[in-house]
Amino acid sequence: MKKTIVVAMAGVALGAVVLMRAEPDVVPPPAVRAPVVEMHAQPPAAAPEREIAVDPSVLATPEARAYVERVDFEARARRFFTDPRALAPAEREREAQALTAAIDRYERARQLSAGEAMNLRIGLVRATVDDEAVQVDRIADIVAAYRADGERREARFIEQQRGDAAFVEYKAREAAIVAEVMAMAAIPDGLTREEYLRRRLQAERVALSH
Amino acid sequence: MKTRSTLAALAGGLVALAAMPAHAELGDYSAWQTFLNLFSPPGADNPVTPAQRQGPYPLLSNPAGYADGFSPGNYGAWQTIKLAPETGAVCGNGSQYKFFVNRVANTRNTIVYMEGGGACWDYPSCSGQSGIRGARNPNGIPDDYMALMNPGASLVSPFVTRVSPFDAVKTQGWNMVYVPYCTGDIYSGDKVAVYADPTNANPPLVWHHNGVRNTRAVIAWLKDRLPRPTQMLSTGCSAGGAGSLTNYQAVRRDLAPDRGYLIDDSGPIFASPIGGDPAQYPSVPLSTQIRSAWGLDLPGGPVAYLAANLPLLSTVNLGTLYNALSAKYPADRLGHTHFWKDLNYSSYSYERFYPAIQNAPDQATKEALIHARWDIDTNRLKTTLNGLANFGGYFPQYRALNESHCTTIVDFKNGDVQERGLELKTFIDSVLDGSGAVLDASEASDAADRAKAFNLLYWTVDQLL
Repeated sequence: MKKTIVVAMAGVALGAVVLMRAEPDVVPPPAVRAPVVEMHAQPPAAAPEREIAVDPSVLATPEARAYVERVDFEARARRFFTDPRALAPAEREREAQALTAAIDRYERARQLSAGEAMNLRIGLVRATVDDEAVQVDRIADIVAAYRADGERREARFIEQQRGDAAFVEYKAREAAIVAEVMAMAAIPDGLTREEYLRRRLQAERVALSH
Repeated sequence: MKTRSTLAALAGGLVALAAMPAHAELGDYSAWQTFLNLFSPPGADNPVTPAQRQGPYPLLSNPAGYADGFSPGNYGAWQTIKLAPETGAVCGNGSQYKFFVNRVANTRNTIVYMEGGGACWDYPSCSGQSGIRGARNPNGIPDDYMALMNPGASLVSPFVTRVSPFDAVKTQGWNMVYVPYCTGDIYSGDKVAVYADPTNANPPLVWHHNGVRNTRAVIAWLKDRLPRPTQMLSTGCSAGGAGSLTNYQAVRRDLAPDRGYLIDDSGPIFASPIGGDPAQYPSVPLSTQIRSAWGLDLPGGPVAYLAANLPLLSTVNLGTLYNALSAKYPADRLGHTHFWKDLNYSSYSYERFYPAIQNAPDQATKEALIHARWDIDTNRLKTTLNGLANFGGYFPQYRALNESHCTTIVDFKNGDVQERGLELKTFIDSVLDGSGAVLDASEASDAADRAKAFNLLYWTVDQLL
């Protein structure tokens, strides 16, 4: 029952959020119709409608806002890339800037991978720049920036690994265990040398992780 | 005011619902269930059983209370999932293995994408020696990997983007599992290799060819933390394509989707019978090398594990994997694709095994020698797949990107078979949404491909490599 009310409130609230952006004066109604929802492995069958009271506080939840904004961004981007030249140049540029701002935000929040963000930025250049020479320069700048950032991150990771005392200790133990096992004349427990070595090294990693 | 507000809210609800994908797929939640999921993320409903934690290549989970980094309600974000040593997972250099999940609220459907990135089987290739084709991520996987423009990750496929400027495919709305590559063994090995430096200048390189166990650990985590997928696509390019193929049986069995799909992009496992004549089976020398280097034939090892679950697999010829999977899962839709003019996977397959190629007087001669062997192997694979109704083969000729390697990276364009008016997307749709036999198609001539106009996007991406 509680989940049903939450579903109904969430559904109406999200709908109201979407509309409220266009019409700030709209106020959520006190009661609406909403279907009852059960938790099923498959999409549920249609359920009888019932009226549920709406709690306007659902509108303000981070989950609801984030979901609606993300759905809106993806729909907007798809519409844009479907036919960017259907828009007048000034409008196309405005929309591209809005999408760029969203890409920046989502990329910072790790909601776009670097690869996906780069492709989107390249797509925006191709959609808004008619001069191919300028396109080449801008795309090259984007690629160079991503490459440089990737190299910095990789270098930082390698440096962190070098300074990771547990990992350094493991590598020393790994070399010692390998030398020991490779020199063994007989392998215990009926294991192959390879499996015994794997288990010894895994045990070492487990021990060092605690 | 009350009437207007009621109508406005109802209209708003309709707008929100309209923002959902217009065509609901099998496995999609209803709009209302999606909204509920935002506040109460669905949990696992097909967890690892005690029996699955035993036996060969068991499904092993993180210890209780382990901070794996997952937040169930953090939809839309690339989350780094850490796997403890207890799971058996590890990168080639002994560092921690991790993978990445991007979850959505509106569906159970899931894509498992295996990253590509070469292969290695000896000291020069596994140590990252310059001038030798090696393998991705020799130093392991950083936590912020998805924020890093790794050249391999940069060739991102439309399969694992939410919004691609270039192509749309239904997996863009699915839960995404990105499996990074750090073992150099096309996700198929199980051996701690000790590679001596041929120059004796450095200590031996200890390299964990641990691909099978890493994949098992990923599957265990998915079963323990996420709902069972209704539809599941297993795919990847290059080593990721090969890894999708070799792991499909186990992934399919254990994740147990209602509908399973496989697309092996440019990771062929060619017919290579043990002891076969390289003139007839050009990949025999490679196969011999990796079967030993990656521990494939060790007692209870990867080949034995595959054979125990795939009755039609011949352990002496791993090219029978296609036939075996086709027979094991007759209702699944499976596909393989690669370019005839591939110069990447083909170079890995032949370059270091044939002195005539290594010693070729010029690049054109080298490429011709490589192509000749690739043609023999590809022709045999094409014939095999033509005989399997649920396993299609799609072989375009050439694309001016990444040495004509991988058809499904960056975009789905220019993998066309002009002679039949087919696009790569036609093949992808045949696998994911088709009925009847999965499409088979092969392009005879690369003339039309090479006559295409300069592609600025491809040229740009190639600069990253």
